[in-house]
Amino acid sequence: MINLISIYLNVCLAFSVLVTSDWAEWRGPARDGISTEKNLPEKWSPSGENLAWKAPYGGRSAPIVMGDHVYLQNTAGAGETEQERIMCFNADTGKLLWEHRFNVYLSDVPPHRVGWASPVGDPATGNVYVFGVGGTLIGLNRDGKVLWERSLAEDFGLLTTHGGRTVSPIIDGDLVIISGVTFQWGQHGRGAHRFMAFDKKTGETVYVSAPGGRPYDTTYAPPIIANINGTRLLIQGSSDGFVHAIKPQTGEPVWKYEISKRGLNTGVVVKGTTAILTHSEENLNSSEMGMMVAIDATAKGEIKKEQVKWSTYGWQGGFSSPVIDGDRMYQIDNGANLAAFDLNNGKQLWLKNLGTIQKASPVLADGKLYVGTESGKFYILKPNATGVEVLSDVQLGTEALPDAVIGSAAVSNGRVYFASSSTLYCIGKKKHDTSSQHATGAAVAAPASSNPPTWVQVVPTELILKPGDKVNFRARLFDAQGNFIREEPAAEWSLDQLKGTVANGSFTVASDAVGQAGLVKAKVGDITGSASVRVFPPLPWNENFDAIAPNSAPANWVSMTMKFAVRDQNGNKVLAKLTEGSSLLSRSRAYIGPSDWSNYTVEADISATQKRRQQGDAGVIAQRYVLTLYGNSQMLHIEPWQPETKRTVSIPFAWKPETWYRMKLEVQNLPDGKTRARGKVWPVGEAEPAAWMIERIDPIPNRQGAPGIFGNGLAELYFDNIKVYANK
Amino acid sequence: MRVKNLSVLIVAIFSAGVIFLAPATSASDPGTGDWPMWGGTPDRNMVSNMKGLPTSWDVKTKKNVKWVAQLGSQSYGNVVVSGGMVFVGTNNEGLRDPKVTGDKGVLMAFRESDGEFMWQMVHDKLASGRVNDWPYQGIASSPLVDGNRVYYVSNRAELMCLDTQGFKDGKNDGVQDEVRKGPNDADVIWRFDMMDEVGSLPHNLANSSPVMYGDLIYVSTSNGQDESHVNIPSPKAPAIIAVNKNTGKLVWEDNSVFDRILHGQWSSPTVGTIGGVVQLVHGQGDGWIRGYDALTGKKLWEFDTNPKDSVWPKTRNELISTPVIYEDRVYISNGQDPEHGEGVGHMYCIDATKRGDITQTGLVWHFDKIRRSISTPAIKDGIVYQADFSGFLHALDAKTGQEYWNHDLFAAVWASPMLVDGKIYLGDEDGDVVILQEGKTKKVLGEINMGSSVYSSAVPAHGVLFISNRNQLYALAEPTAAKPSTARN
Repeated sequence: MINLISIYLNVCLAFSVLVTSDWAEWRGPARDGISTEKNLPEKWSPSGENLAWKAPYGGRSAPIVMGDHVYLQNTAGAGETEQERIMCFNADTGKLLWEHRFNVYLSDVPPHRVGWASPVGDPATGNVYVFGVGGTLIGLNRDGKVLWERSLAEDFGLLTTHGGRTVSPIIDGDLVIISGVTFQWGQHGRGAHRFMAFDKKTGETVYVSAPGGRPYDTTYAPPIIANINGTRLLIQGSSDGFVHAIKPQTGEPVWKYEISKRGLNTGVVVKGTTAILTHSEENLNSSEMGMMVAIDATAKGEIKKEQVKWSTYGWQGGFSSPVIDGDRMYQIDNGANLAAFDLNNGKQLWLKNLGTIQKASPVLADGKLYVGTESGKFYILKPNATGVEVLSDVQLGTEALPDAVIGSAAVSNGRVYFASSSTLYCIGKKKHDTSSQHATGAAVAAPASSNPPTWVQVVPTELILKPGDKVNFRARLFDAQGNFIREEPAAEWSLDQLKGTVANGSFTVASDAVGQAGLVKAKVGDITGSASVRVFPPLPWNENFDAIAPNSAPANWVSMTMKFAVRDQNGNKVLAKLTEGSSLLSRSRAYIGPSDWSNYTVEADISATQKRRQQGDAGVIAQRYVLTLYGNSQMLHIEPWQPETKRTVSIPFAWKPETWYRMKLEVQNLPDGKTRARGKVWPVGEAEPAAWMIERIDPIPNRQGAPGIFGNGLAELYFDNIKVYANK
Repeated sequence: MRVKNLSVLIVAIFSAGVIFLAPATSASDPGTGDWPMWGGTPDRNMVSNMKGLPTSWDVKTKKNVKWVAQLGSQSYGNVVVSGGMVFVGTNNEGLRDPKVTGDKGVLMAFRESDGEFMWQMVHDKLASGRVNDWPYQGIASSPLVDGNRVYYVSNRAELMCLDTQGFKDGKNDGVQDEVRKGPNDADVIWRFDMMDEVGSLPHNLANSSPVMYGDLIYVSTSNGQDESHVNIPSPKAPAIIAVNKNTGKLVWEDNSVFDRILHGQWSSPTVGTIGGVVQLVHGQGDGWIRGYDALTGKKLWEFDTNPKDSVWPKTRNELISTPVIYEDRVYISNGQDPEHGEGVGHMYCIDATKRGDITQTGLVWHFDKIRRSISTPAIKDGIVYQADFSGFLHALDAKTGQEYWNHDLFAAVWASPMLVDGKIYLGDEDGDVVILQEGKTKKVLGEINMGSSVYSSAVPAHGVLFISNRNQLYALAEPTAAKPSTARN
């Protein structure tokens, strides 16, 4: 039966647009905050009127609805058992069907910002995908079985910061697409906002695209995919203050427009070939903050000011994304003022205050706006050309202790779903209305193109291999509109910076036990594509940096560029944690092996300098646990997730600047399902102490993870003689 | 030193380096027509007896707008007015000097009479980045002017002492190492780098507004958490320091907070006579407020502004609001970084004549119908006016904490109420300035929009009301009432 459905869906996918009544992405089927459904509720009450059900689970993101399931991403547990979670409910009854919890690790996101993103559903397969605040991307089937899991922190150097801002994934055809600030290796070593696409069935990386420049902030603007004169464009504001348009199946950049000196967090909306962009931060050419601008989305390359249709300065729409209603656009500013604008010229038509602080985006459905505020008011509003009528205004919690609404609503089958910080609500009829059907944006309708190829995509990419491994790559051709043409069997294959052999797409890594990083290239006619490969030899290994050129770093290590570099220190080469550059670099974790290793030990020599009375913090990472020496507070910690302090163990440890210490961290999965991390530190030159000094037995264990190093502070830190080996 | 007109209400007598503050009567008006520091006077009670200030204006038609000065894109500090000059902190998005580009902290000086730009001091951002020096927030410290010196805290956590005339007087006074020495540049007398000298690592931004007593300048170090928000990287740095105003040398420091800082330390200190003792009062990073002997730094008392069962960050708060001293009592509200949103708050009236831990013994009243607040109260005729971040202005009986009335501004409030001539002026994040009548019954006199968010408080000086929005400083005056203030110089 499942196979039949899946065949049917695949047929649909290949030849037509998939039609459902789902709200499988948080911005809706067209990612524009609009539902085409009719006869939706005008009023409701949490005590029963027009309330289909409620469930005692809150969140800070939007629920999604797919088939008879509702999915909500949030936080589970508290203190040392806190995890991120995806929950699945019956859409008709609110009954909890299953939940999947997963760990936050090696992240600066604090406990109260866990569950930032919304999950995405794939109507074609029924699968659901969740992206955690710590950079974990997981694919699950409709029964909650994990299909695959990726660690973007360890494999891509994804930055996750105190702000917690995390982009929600979307589905486009066979791809799950997410984005964020990464510090990878090689051509993707520098920090940039990158778009990353994964095969939704296997989790394999399909492309990594970096259309932009240096990142200012971490951001969470939602993407929209719009068909602009036959070319499908994924358009999204990014961390570099630009709005970027890329081809969603290849990541190829099409145009970009710089609108701010800070990162962007609102969704772009599109009418015809005009894209409307908004932000509330510093402008490039005005001391007034915030802007709304209309540009021609048929442009190519970097859009100049002259190509702007209209712009207005000073509007503070920085978090809540706008919606288009005919010739009008509605947006709620950061101070919870809802305004209507004329789409032809950007003129403000009217303004209505809804509260004090706004994060949630409104959904336009059946002529009504559904939106909650941070002051815990959920509004149903009827906007028109001259003003807005408040149909319903429900205070959740109390005015003194409001139950905040930070995520947006979902509309499906005649019902409206949203989460407050404590409760998931389903407003509407108890019996659902299936009359409404719409095309889902996830489906890619175009049949195989017969146009000439302009782009070669080599998949899979960003692979981590062992010496002697053999992998088959495929060269996939796309036309100028970004449509798939075919897989090319006759590509010319070659290797760049890699030792091994390649023929007909089949790559065999050289059997030498050395680390490597490079590209597998495919040339078709005069166009070339490539896949990235890193190779790690099996344990044990030892890195003393003697073979590494000064000012560089081992090529297969992730998150090194501008953060760490080899120095010659009186004839001895060491790895220095750098202190100059962007503030996004100051706290640095670097990953020096695959993220699926377990039961190993990391040792390293570390030494700190002191400057302006400050001594930095240095650590080693094994299997998602960090053993850290704190300089100023003279402490030794083991911490899998520093901001959640209940799971940190610490002891006082006196250590001096300008002195080498040996750190040793051993992590072992125990037979009872827990994981033990234990460490010791001693001055280099002295005998290793027999006893472990600090130990953590983790009841919510991290069962695997990459080895790495950690550095933080205003003064330089040095690492040397890093050794990784299987536990004895 | 230029001689000021001294008011009969508050007389500041210079004697052996000590100012004696006369007991406050009906107002804390600085009395000179100037507004030389945050709060106007060291007790930080924002009350002025000035008459004839405008109650209506229009920033679009320029009605009652005497002049407008362009600032950077974000201006969180308050304007101060002294000696015919106006000083305000902002960022560098106003590009006053086209040769100086990029994100900077900027102190701008304008001529009071016509808003003519005189000079600016420009500070590079800290290389350590946003954890210590948040992008584009500029200088958030409100300066203090004493004679021909202006003191403030830069975005680099330096306590700065500048010549009020900049290089306009043709002389380079004090240190000689200024990078820019043009006619529109600032003349630095000395700088006290709190990161170098006392090891402070400010969280997000050093913002303290200085207060003075005798030869001492007091500022909070803003020492706080690192980017992890769980680690205090510099637990041995003090929370409060006293620096000699002439030499720029450290005189005393206190670090009662140690590593118990909840987040940052953004509350500015206050000076006043309480029970006959001149006290320095400071709200600190553990949510406690402490009183010190102003001259010696000896700690006299401390008071916990959070219920014992409160939990950071949900119910336990930090102190951002500046305390106010009024008739031997200290008034303070707690709250949180605006980035944390709204939540429960607490306001207290404290009897600061008590000694030791006075959380119990010094409690006069506790008002818990307030939300989180970062605003400073203003007190006059036995009524406290206190705004909260959720946008409510509360009027309370100063003796009992009983609420007379409240007013909902329907927008977040960062600013503090200013009491002038029987009226209350208060701005909000939507850019509205509401004007209400002082007293036990609520009466709204008007509401005027300033074009963009008003984060700062209204400042009266010489018949002119100064109000800044994010990127502009407005001098507002009735055409007939505004006397050209430069005539005095």
